Amino acid sequence: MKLRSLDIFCEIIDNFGDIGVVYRLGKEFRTVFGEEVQIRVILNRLDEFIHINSNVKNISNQEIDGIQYVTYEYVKKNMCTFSTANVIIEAFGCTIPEEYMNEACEHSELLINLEYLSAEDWIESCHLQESPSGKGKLKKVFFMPGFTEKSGGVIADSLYLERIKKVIENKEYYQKKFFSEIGNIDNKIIGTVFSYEKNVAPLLRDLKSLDKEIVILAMGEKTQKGFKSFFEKNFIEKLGNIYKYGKIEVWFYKFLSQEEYEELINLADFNFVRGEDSFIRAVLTGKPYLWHIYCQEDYAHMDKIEGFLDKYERQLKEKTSEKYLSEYKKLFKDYNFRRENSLEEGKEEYLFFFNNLKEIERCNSLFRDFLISNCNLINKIKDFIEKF
Amino acid sequence: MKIAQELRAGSTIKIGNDPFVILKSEYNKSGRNAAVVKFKMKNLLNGNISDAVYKADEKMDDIRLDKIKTVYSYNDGNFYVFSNPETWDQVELKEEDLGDAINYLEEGMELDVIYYESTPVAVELPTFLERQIEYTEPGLRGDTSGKVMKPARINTGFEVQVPLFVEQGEWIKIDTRTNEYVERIKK
Repeated sequence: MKLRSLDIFCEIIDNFGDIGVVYRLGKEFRTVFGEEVQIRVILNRLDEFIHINSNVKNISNQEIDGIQYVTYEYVKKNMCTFSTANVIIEAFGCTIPEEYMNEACEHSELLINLEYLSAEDWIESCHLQESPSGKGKLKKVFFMPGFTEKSGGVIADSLYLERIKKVIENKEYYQKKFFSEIGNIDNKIIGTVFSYEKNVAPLLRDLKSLDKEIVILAMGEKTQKGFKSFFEKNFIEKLGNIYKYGKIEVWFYKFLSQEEYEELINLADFNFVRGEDSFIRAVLTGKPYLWHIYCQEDYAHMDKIEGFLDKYERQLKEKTSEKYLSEYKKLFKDYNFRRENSLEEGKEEYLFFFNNLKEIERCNSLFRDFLISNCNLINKIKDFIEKF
Repeated sequence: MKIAQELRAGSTIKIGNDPFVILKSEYNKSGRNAAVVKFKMKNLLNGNISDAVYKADEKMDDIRLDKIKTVYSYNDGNFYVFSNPETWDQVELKEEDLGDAINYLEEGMELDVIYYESTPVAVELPTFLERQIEYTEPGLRGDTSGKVMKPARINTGFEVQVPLFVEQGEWIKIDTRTNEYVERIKK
């Protein structure tokens, strides 16, 4: 099928994850499909988008870098002149306005229901399955992102891959950009931490016992709340925005744009990230990482963690030791095991991670290479549309 | 109207103008994703069998077809034979028509045979069934959380995931829409 126009719908609930993914998708599709394809992103609200992109204005219809950004409200009011696209992406099971769907059933061809990233085995059997409605000519399919060839893959967009290359080739420039205030960074391990509510006592205790100079860039309010809570009960030295705990320095870092965050995590020695979008960004760095997953009722998030670790192990079991895999998997699980987000202390022990940064980076680079070569969501969507 | 997750093997729905019978239904949920149901279903007009996925809360147009109460008698190698206990008429169905019901089929079992334009096309399972566990690994007596599961085989050879505290020989209640364990039954 020839793609002539693409509408991406997204309902933002309360964070930057969903809009982050959709913004990224829009930009990459612009690059992949070229100028002749009309791309529109339709959002229920703009607050979070304004936060991650300073070019966005609080208006219902605007064009930025060749993509039209429109609000749900605008679509509902202007449906008589707002023709539907021939391909529609419904991001994360959002509700598309009824006025639009009534038209789309008759005039559009393909509706892709793009789900959240999953890691469980069953997603392969649902990926690209049709969901017939019997209404009009519009065909709906489920697209299930994941970590295997038979799933929808992960977003490994060329814009990000180019940015990674740029950071590697211009390391000194980026070190000045992000680390100039840290001073002499030789012999220092620098990492980012971005999490939901988390007790950082086990991390700081283990890091202190390592007796190494470590700089932690604490990103986001929830992460910083965890560190503040520790510092309130433990002796520290505070210099402006920097907290010193033995040889450890914790910097409360400012909010970064999507592009700057991507540069930073490719410069850092390790990244603890939260949510799905940041996780995939971290995975594609090939550097050591931990994923603080979105907490779900009945420990459902642990199934996703287990699923991810299973796919990670499948790719690496011939290439590293059993001990490495079992230790890394244990840390991943302990880091995430919780009934709800809170500042309650977890059981995780970090010494394995910080004593094996090189081996973790070697393994994570292999896993990254596998994903880029075999599980690129952008290529998979493009191929699917073209063959449809 | 019913929501997709309420449909099970034997349920009949209409998509556009075509009537379908659900042969298999598989419920899945992953983290923040909407729960989904995967159906294997048969188009009753052309006999084509296809797979489809729906959000678990999607509204489906369920239709009522004629049903006759029967008792499962035997499998003659080609067909599964059911008999009407009132008339003793026999009804023959192929394995593919039984869908998920085959997991629970045992001699003397009562279930409804569904007809479309005078032709038997499927069977409908009760929503809940009680079955005895023929084999399962010993579990942990202390574990009553029900969070950690293990496989348990019932008399037909079908495996159901049960909590660790459930033991061999015990009876359990199964939800046939999801093939999931519901609770232990005292018999």
